[in-house]
Amino acid sequence: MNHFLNHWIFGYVVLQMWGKYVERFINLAIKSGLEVWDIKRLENDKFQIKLKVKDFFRLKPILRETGTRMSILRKIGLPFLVYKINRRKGIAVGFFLFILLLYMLSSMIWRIDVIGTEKIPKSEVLNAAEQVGIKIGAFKWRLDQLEDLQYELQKSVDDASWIGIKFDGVVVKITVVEKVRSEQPKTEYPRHLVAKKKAVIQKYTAEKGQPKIAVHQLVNKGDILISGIIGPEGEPNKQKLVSAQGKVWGEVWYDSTISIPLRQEVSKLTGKSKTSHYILLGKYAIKIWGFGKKDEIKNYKTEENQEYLTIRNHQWPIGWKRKDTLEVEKEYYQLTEEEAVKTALEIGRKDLINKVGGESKIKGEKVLQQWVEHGKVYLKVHYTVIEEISMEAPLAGQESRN
Amino acid sequence: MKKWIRNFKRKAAKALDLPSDIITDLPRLTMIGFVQLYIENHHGVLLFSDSELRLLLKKGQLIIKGEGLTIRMILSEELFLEGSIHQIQIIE
Repeated sequence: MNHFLNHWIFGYVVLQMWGKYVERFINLAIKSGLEVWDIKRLENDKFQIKLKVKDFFRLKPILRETGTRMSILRKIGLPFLVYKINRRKGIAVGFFLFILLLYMLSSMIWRIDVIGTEKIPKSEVLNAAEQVGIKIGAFKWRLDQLEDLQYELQKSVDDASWIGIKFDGVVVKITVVEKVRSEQPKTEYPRHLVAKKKAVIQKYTAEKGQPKIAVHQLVNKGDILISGIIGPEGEPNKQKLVSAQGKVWGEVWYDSTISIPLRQEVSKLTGKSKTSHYILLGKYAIKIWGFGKKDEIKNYKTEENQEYLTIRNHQWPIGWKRKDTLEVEKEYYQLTEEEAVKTALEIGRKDLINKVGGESKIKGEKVLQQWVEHGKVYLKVHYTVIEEISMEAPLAGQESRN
Repeated sequence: MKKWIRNFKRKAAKALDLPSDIITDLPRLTMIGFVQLYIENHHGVLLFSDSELRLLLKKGQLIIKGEGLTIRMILSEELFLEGSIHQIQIIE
């Protein structure tokens, strides 16, 4: 085997030879130190011998001396293989070029996606990107650092508050977050500010227009608070129409009835529980632990905890679920009337704030009536609330008159 | 003179208890089954065919007959033969 490997590495030829004195040729060959082996007589009376490549070129004088002729049957070994590969250099070069080309093409930008633009035209972002070097056909390695690119791009697109660039193979994803511009002020049209509801004025600020009110004045719904007509009264020619602006705070009253049962119900955990485990495969859960015994727990609530296997931000459809069944007991307790009233008032305040809006403030509350009926406490409460009461009223009719 | 040297060699080999083929040029044949034959101290191939190998020795000839004979290896004094061997004949 070792011999064979040795022959193979240095290469050998299989020869066939014929002539009258082949035996003499063999004797001479071995005398002069040529390495021959596997000598065989072939069917056609020719000899087949194997010979090392390096000895092949010393063969000629011996052949001539003995009048033996020969031809090569096969060439075997590494030197011939190398020669073959060398002759097919084209293929090797082609393969190398293919790899190079593949690498080059895959390091080019072939698509640019712009995500998140609504008002900014995509072409603007693309133009800006081209300025910093991101365009179809550009090599990725020639671009600047990602942070610099993002910074440059953000600078050249005015309306973007943030621009993110992500390379995804040959695709560049440009994510644009647009600046949220404050809404354009509404087109101003002549208008009054009138009262939304009946109230007592607490304070007001008029930015534009003529205030028609005074503090502590009672106004009814629809009364003009700030007029959109400015100028001396009674002289229509000198008057001007404006869009009244301002804020008017008034004291408003609400009456509401609140009821609350005296018997309160609370759920309490008894501490009795049962845990089951599941293996998650895709959408399916297979229970593997915690069978039976469910009947012992009558009133219960369940808590589930599930987790999927995540490797390098990739979630696999395999996971584990733990389900706890906890026994629940209902408990009742009786509120005293005093406690009930306290709770009811709290609830009432919350409800009111929800109804009139967050900017309002409850100035005072007064229990008008309080009675118990069918196990419930009823409260009639009077609230005083400070809230914004102005409402816009267009002046279209008057405009045409003027 | 030649005869005297040969005589001395033989005697020396005997006295030193050495195999006589090392000192003298006698052929040494090693046969493994009937398929492999290892021959040392031959003096060249006289004839070789599928069924016969005739070797020259220092004194005489060695004729090996068989079937499908192949010379697996041949050096100037050694020879390794393979094939089914039927007959070995020595001619003085």
